[in-house]
Amino acid sequence: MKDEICTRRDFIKGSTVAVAGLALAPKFFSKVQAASIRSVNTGDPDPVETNPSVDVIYSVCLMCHSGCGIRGKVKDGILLKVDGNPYHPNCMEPNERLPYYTSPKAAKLIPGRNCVKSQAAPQTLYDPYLLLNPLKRVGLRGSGQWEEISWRQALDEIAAKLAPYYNTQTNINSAFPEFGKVSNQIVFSAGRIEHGQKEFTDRIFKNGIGTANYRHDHTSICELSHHTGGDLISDFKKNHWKPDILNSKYLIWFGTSPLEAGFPMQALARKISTFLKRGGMMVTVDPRFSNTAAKSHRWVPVKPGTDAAFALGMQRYIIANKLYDKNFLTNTRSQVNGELSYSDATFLVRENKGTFMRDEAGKNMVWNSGQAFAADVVPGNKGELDPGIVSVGGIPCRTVWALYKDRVFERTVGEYASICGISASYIIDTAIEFANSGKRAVANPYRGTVQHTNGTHAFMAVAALNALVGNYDWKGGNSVGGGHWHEEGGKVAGQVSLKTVPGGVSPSGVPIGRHGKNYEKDAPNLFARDGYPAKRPWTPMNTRWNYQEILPSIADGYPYPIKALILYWNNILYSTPAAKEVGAQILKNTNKIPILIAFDIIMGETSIYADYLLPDTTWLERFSTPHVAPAIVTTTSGFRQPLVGTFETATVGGKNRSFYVSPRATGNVARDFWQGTNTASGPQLLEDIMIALGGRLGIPGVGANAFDTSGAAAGRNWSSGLYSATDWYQNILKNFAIEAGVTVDDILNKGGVFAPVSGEPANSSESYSGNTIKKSYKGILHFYVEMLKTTKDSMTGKTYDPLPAYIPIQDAMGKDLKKGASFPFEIITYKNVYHAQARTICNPWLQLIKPVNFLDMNRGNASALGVETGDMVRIINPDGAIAEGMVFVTEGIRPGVVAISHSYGHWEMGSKPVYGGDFDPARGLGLAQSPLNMLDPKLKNVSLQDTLGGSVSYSDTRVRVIKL
Amino acid sequence: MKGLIFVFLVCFCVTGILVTADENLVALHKSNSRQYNPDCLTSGCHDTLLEDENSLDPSVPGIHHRMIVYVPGYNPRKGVSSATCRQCHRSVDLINKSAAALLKNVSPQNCVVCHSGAGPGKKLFR
Repeated sequence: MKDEICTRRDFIKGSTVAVAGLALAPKFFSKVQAASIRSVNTGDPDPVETNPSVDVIYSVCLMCHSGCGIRGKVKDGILLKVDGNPYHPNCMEPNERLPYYTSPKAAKLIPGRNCVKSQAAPQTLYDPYLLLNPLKRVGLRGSGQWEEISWRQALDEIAAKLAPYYNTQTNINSAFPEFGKVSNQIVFSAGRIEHGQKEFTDRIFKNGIGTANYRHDHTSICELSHHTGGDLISDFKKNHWKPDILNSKYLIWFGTSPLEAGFPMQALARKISTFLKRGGMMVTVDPRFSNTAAKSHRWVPVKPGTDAAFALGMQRYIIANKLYDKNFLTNTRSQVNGELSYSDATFLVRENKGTFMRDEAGKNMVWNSGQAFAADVVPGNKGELDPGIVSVGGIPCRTVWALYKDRVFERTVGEYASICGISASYIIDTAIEFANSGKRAVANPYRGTVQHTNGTHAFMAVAALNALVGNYDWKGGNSVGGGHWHEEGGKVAGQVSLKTVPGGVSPSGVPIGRHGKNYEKDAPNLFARDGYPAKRPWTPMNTRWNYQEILPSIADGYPYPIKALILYWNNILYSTPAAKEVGAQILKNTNKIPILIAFDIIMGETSIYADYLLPDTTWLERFSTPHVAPAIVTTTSGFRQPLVGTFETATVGGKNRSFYVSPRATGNVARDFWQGTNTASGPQLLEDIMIALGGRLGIPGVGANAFDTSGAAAGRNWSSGLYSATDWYQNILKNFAIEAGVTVDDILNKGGVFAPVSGEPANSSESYSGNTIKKSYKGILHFYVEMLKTTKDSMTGKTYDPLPAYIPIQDAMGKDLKKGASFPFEIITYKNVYHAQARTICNPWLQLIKPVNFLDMNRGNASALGVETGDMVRIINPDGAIAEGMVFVTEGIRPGVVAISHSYGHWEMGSKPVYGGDFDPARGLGLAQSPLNMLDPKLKNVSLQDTLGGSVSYSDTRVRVIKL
Repeated sequence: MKGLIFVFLVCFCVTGILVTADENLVALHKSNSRQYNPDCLTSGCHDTLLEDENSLDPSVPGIHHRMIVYVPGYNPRKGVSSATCRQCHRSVDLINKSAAALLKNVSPQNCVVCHSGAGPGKKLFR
């Protein structure tokens, strides 16, 4: 009974009650089944944990992306309540978190904390409008006409349609070998996909089918330019930092409100409360008076998109008054002179080319006492910040610091303040306080700063503040976080590398969204044909896909046409700016997208256009291995597992294996495939569906010998074959157990692995080494990104700016956008604490908190328009997109700016009757902000975007508001 | 208009409070809105609160039953008025605009007077 997923799950003994209901449900949706679940008399809705009939199952929340540990109370197979995980560092602070050695029995009566969204999680599982069985489109795309079919029929037909394009040998176009092979015409795009799942679908699409379009996740509509910026300033070594809040002294939140959003919200909020109690000072830079602004010592309501100007204004003051950390800035390498990380401030740059001056060994050079040295051998590991123009081998050079200082001094503090639309005193006061707080001051930029056309440079500008005070790796400073153990293995002896796919292929060619690819170098034939500007933007510095470009690129057949689009839990049309209308037209076009397949839990705004709509399990019925954000400074690997459902055992591939069955399902598609049976109905795990599909296509990486177990630790019962989702996650559990030195039972029974795995979490030696953070970066921080100086923007044909900069809002051609009087308001967006992504509107308890959202408007603007709170208005953008909603009048937003919170205003998701059945009109209430964003004037079928970092723009559109 | 009908439907469904099509809960509670209704108790909104109130543990009286007698100005012979409500429920949730917390949250500063050790109430605050 040890060390296996399935054998632990005898707690599901009562779930047949729910399954019985399923058999009575002839409809597409599972309403009848949901009703049957509710009819079960479970008695007390919140039984105590010691009740012998109650199972306490640990897992990880996915109401938002924070990855907080949860545990569910399950009785008779029904999930009654969700609490926090007392072992998990998102849920409890170090001085209260249960030591990992605490037995699950002892932990039973000590629930961890979870947020309001998590409390409503059971309603996701029991949403009456969840999809039940595979649907095949019988009318026009989007018409809502469906035929319910079996899993066998669905997967047989899908495999037959995909098979001609599973071709890793033939070029798409022989004249353009850079397009890669025919397999690239199969595009997989996951809106929200988690670790564990990501590595799995990479195996299927990247190494199995062999497509370069193997993930296309949503990050570019989230905070991509923040990651790209992090990559650029660290030579692609790290991309995410957060303050070590509990030990910080001064925090500046740029474009983010950690008391209500961001991740992990509950941990950020709790740490900030402690930080404030301890006397910490906080500044929020945001056009909107957020919850975080309300608790801050200063609210700086800058104009949207001008965060970089505020940060550069601070830098002007800090540099002019020499308030920076000279010791940090003059260090030439890591781990010297009391610092762990270092900057490029002293590096020499060739005046003519703008590239770093390097010695014959390729080492960066610095200047010290009248001569140049390689940075790693210079006396004292010190370089001069500004020796003036120096000659190295006859080549005139200046330091990065000198170039950076010139940039900062291009404008006065007053001019920066004018750009931001604020008083210069805000900049000066914040600069003084920030610099005086030394290494315990952190400036943290997030979505509001980077989801603009100038997002990457705005990130670089804020990051430069942190470099000026040298706060990286310091206790109370900027932290890369504690990281995680490695589900994919391959890190320590005895693990099985799940990334290794025997017989697998490596895709070639450019992905359809052109991320991480250089127009000139990676597509030489296309470049020779088209030159500048490219037909659509390429983002060579972006290593994380370009979500908003998927559909427009498909529409333009650029760089090549596709044959199949497979969407997983993906709502492009609702969540992507300006995608509602143009995206729908593209999805409807069967010439542009001959095959369209969607996995979803509910009829979504995007999945309604599918040819085949496959019912996914909810996240409460899934596996995955969520990581946490760097605000957690100790190593953390959560393990998500189904809270409900059953595991059925069958002999497949010569071994007894377990197959998961959702309480809304019968049978298992993967088992059916291997055994040639046809028992499956109801929602199925993504992994099992992919195994059944991959098996039909005959791709490598599924079935026998799917894993190379030659170096695997003995005695752990590894699975060398991949026949079911549980094979995958069994191997993951063993990889975790080996690397972390715990047992699989520990991971299953405690919801993951959380450092320290022995000893007390409150022991600060686990997190800190003296005054520095133990899990530290120890790397370079660039003020000057050489790669930007040598790489051309695919649209303008000009090289990127290598320094932090304030760049006005521009279209894809680098042309400043007009600010006409006919569209006087800038529209922005934000998240409420009781909603996260598009999906939380389906949770009635969260609906109840605020049934409808508003257009937030400043009192002065409202007076001029003659509107008061509750009045209806019409909002119109320059492209003619229109929405109508209620105004909320407040002083808490900058005049000239209006705001709409995310999550509201759905037009599907059960908000209307798709089959003439029941629906919940409340899900359609309020305003959706995404459709009100404008299209790029040059490209015309995609929103404004940061053509460097890849982020989409949510806050650069101007609108007109009319009283109704 | 369609949206307003939805608002009406949902507000009635989730709160049990009748809100007409051209009203919304936030505006009703916000004193500078033309929809503002200063009468908490006689408009079909909260007039039965004391009758309906139950705590999770039936042996413990609900907070309103328990505390109403201590509200300044409360006269048992005259009963509860809107002014009684506003003694504790002083501010609208202006930041979140959450309908469920419009005037629901009571600032702990109101409680400190009695519950800080110097007053008659049990010491809850330091």
